[in-house]
Amino acid sequence: MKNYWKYILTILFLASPLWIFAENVITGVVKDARSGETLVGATVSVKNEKGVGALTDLDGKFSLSTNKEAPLTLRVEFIGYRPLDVDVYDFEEPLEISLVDNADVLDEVVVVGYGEQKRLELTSSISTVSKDPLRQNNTSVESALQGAVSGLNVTQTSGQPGAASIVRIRGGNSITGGNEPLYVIDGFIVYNDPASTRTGAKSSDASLDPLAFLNPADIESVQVLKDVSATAIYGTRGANGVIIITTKKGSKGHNNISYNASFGWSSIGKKLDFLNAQQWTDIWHELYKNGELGYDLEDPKESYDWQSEALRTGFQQEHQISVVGGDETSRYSVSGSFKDQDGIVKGTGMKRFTGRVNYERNVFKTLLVGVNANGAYNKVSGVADNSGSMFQPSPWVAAISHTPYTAIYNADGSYNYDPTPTSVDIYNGKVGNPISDLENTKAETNNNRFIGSGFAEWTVIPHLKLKASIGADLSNTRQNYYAPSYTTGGLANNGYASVGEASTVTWQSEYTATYSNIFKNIHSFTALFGYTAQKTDRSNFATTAYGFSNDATGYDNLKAAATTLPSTSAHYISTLQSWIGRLNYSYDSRYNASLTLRADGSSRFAKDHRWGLFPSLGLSWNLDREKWIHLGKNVDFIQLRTSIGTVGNQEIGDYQYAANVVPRTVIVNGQQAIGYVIENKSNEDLKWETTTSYNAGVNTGFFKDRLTITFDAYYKKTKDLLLNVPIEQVTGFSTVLRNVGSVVNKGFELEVGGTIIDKRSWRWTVNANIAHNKNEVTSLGELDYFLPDFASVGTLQYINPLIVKKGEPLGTFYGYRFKGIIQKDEDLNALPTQTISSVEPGNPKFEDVNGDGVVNEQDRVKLGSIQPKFTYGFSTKLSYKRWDLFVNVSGSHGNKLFNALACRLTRGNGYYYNPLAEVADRWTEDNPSNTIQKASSATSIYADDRFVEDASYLKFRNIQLGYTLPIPQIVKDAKLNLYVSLQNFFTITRYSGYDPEANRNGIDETSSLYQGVDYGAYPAAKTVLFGVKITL
Amino acid sequence: MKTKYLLTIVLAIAIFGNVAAEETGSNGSGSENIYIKSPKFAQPLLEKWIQEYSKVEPNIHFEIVKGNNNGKQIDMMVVVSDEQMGQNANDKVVYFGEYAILPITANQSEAAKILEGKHLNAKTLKQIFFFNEDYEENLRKNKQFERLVIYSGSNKSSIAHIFAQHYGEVVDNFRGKRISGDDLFLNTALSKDPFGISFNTLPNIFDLKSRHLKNNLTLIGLDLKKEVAGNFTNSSSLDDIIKSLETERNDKITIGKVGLSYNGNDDAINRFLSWILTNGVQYNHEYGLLNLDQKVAEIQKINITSTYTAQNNK
Repeated sequence: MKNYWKYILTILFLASPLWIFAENVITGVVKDARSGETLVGATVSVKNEKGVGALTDLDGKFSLSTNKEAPLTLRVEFIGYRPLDVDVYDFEEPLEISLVDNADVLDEVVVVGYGEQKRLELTSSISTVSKDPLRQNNTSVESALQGAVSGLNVTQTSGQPGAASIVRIRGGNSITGGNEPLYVIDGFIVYNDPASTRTGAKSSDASLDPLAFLNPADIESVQVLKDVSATAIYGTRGANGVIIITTKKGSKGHNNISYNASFGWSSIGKKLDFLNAQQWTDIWHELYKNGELGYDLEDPKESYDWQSEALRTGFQQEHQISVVGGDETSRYSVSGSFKDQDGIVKGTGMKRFTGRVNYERNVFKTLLVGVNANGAYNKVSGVADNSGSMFQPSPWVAAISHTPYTAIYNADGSYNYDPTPTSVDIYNGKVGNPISDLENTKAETNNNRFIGSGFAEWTVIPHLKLKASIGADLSNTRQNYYAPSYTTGGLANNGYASVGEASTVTWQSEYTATYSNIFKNIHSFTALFGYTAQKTDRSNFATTAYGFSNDATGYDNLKAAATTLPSTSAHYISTLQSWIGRLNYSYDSRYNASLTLRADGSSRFAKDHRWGLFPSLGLSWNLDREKWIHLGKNVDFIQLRTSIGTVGNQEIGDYQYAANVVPRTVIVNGQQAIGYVIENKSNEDLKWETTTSYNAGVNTGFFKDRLTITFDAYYKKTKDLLLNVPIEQVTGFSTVLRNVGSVVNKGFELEVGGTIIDKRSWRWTVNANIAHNKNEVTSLGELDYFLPDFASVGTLQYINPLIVKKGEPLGTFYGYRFKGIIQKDEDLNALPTQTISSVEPGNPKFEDVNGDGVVNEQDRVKLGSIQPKFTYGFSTKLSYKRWDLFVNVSGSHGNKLFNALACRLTRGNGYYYNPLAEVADRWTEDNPSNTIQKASSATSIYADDRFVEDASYLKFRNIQLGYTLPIPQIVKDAKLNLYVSLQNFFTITRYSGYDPEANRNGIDETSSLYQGVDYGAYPAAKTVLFGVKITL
Repeated sequence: MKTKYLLTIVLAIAIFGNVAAEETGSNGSGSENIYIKSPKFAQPLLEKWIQEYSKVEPNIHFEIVKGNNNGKQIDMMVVVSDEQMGQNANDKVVYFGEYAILPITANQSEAAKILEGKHLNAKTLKQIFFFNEDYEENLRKNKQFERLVIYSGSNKSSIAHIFAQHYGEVVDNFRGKRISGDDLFLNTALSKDPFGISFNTLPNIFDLKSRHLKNNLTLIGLDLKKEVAGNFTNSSSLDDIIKSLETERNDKITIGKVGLSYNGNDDAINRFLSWILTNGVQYNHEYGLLNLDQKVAEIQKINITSTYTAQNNK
């Protein structure tokens, strides 16, 4: 019977009402506290009850069941928001939970070198690129940074797709060394060296962007480290500032797939006006009449617009797909992209494939392991570099300045290669056709890049973390050039080919220990200690051949060439090992100090100078937290900062201290032989270029941090700059490389960020920044000045428009002062004689600065510089319900450019080119122009102040309008974002050339010595893009 | 064998019991069931009304829904702020009274010691309860205030919305911790945190039987005029406070309207509401609520009458 009662009870239990098993159901919605928008994918879990949790759906709603009785505590988490604990006392009503985003200035965590730090406890000048510019459609990593933060100046020197940009943080420090900032991408150190993608082969005009391997859409955040307190941890590579890029990571509870496709059309932003065929023929008539030409031409029946013919509307498309997600133990992010972009100049364009994998896993509770890997293939077809040519530094310049008298095509539509009475450089009865050159001359750069690293982080005790990481950067570049026999580049040689490869392999390992603790709730202490080593192995070779029997194989079969020039090859190995240490201390989040020390040992210097110590000290005071200071009700945060320290620059090239032995072809007894000569005098005393910096700044927040203002002032002195200085001839050398120069950069920066409207439907944010930097060469050793030599650059080698001079900034222009045109009734005897141009009516007259009665090289003076008085950026985003509008503007004021193209094309000349349209108003006896000289068959030009132009500009970089539409019909969280983007659509400038940022002239665009000279750079494009992004 | 029969009978009863229970839950008796949702401070009054109204219309069953709705269609809901409105397109509201909110803390708590002898004016109350620009300034004068932890309700039916509105703020700006659950649990939260302070309605902070403050609570001193200050002490009775507030309003004390939202298409509900406005409101004081201003009360009657009439004319 006893058993039966058990049976009865069991049945009763099974059959009883469900309340016996009743679970409490908690429902609710999670919203953004500021906007009221619901948050999709937020995690809601019951604290101290494992496995009970839920994700919010498309409407931000959640529902979870728990056996736990009230009161209980829910934990609500969502990426980008502060986690929130909610005490639940009953289950009667759906919960409405509002999360506050963690954009609060005080709580924001900033990525710093080898770690993270609360912004509240920072002692250094670090600017964070706001998320809005990063979320737009950016053409490159650098374009995402343009105008984004103060003191970061990004100049797109060429409009060629995939071209490198010049990036400077607080001005240039070095005269002959590298000035590019250091990039740290997911912890891996990448020096943005355009030289790493140059092989030595003849190739395109602009270098491949070394950061092209990184898809801008993969970037999660960018921090710009500007002062020495932040950069000293990078020691010998911190002098030019550091840009820390973190790519997107997965997160717990999210599994999203997104696909983004964009399609766009680009066209030239601005065309130049050239003479038409009749105007050009008039010059010919004039020169013939003056006896400068031996024959006359018939008036043309038609005018040919070579500039327009060289251009096209470039189509581009890009497809990106990414998958991110994670669970309790793992987080992943995988993405891939393809981009195909036609350049606006015919025959140019780029293709890019990128792939990225980020994966992290908590193997144990205390052990985190992960990998970050980026891979990319880039193929850039550029405008061939022909900078050695006097008049045609590239097919592009050849095309735009081609005589409009000559037909571009034959009647059958084929290219016209037939000479005309005006043709020069005729080979076998044919001439080159620049449009054909653009289409058929191949100047390609192919780059494969892989950057990968793996790490393990062990939390030994809650306050101590040990981290080890190892990674590699593998870059392989191949450059191919082929000018077929019918093109200008191959006409004289029956085809001209050049191929080269460059390989750069960098290994990096890092081992760090970080101890972080807070004592008595008031003493916050973090200590970092570590060791890192890097080895870079670079090699390259290039071969050039010409005289092909046919054009069938081009650069793919150099054996078919009749003549092969001596090949070149090179190999460089450098290593760097470093010890790093940093102590951070904060007292009550009021008084903060950061002490950094890095010891670097580099193989780039002789044995006795390999190791250097780079210390820095940063202090900050959050005076708003002082009880005794009354700041007023609208002040949330005021932090005063100051820092001092020294960093170095090892980007001086390899083996500079050693005597290099190089082969030379010599003639011995009438026979060619190879001999070896010592190329340079060794100098084992060479050491780092060192930059000592001082920084003082203030960070502020007002009106609940809706207004933030940051101001910094700095002084940087770089000394021991490497310069070739003259030495006694008895040594057998004329110069030796020594640490003698110094450069000072000083300036200030201001950043203002504001949230003007923050309502449920409306949100309007604004970010603006402005920076002033004064650059000055303070020492050149025993030299007072020198002129950067534009050796082998056609036109420029004769005029050397730049000077490096003590007391002047880098990039100072140097030339004559134009005083007008000599008029026919002018007393010629009263004018000083001119060595550069005869004194006769119609010719230019220049100022005799030293008053010695002769205008010669001694009368050249400084004519301004490339250094802007200030640079600025402005971005704003306006959101209304599902609509958003983003506008990004940046500009530069007070900087000048030497318009070498105008210098060449602002004079009437019969043969070689078509001048600019303004030459129609040139001086003649009947037209006493005082600005444009008379027509002349002479080709000489001079650098004078007419062509040093104000290149101040304001560019609307991006105007993007978007609309986001929920599409729960697919899956409940699905969203569709449609957008249209106008990129570089408007430019306000007085610069008369194609683009005020254009800065190409055939020499290394990143060198401080040769910047600021525009000799027909690839023109800038304006683009309209349409895009669609689907997130599931 | 007998045992088997017995088991079968027990099983049948058990299953039937389940089914019957579910049937009853939906509409077991066949007569009309009207479900009402209410914050706890208004529930005693509602229960009194239901009890009294059953003498008028015994066939209508009212039920105050507790816990999750469990799929029940809520016919009427006690509303204390606009936040609760708009959940149904046809919602109408008839107000039957007002509730007063007083700041409180736990008796003998650290917070009570910090606030002892203080008479807070409206500005200081705002500074303490909300994130705002004046707060830091105020902290310098009263550093102890920094230790106070504010508790507020986060439910839609919480009076937190009205309290915030009174000071020109929104609920997102409340300092401290927000609890989920009925505002009554704010008292519980205070009992657990010695530095906790909060605010609540009179029915939640007074014992309706003794008419005095609940034992574990104490009022936070307010900067009131001498003539009325004596009515707002820990020893004041609920009736003193109600009488004082109905006589003269004070900007330090938040008062909100309480009403019932309803669909307007149900005659039974309309009749019940009509009864409340004419007879039910006599119990307002007993259950800690203030009466509506006479004019407002008349408007409510007109509204419900017109709804009722329109419904009947269909």
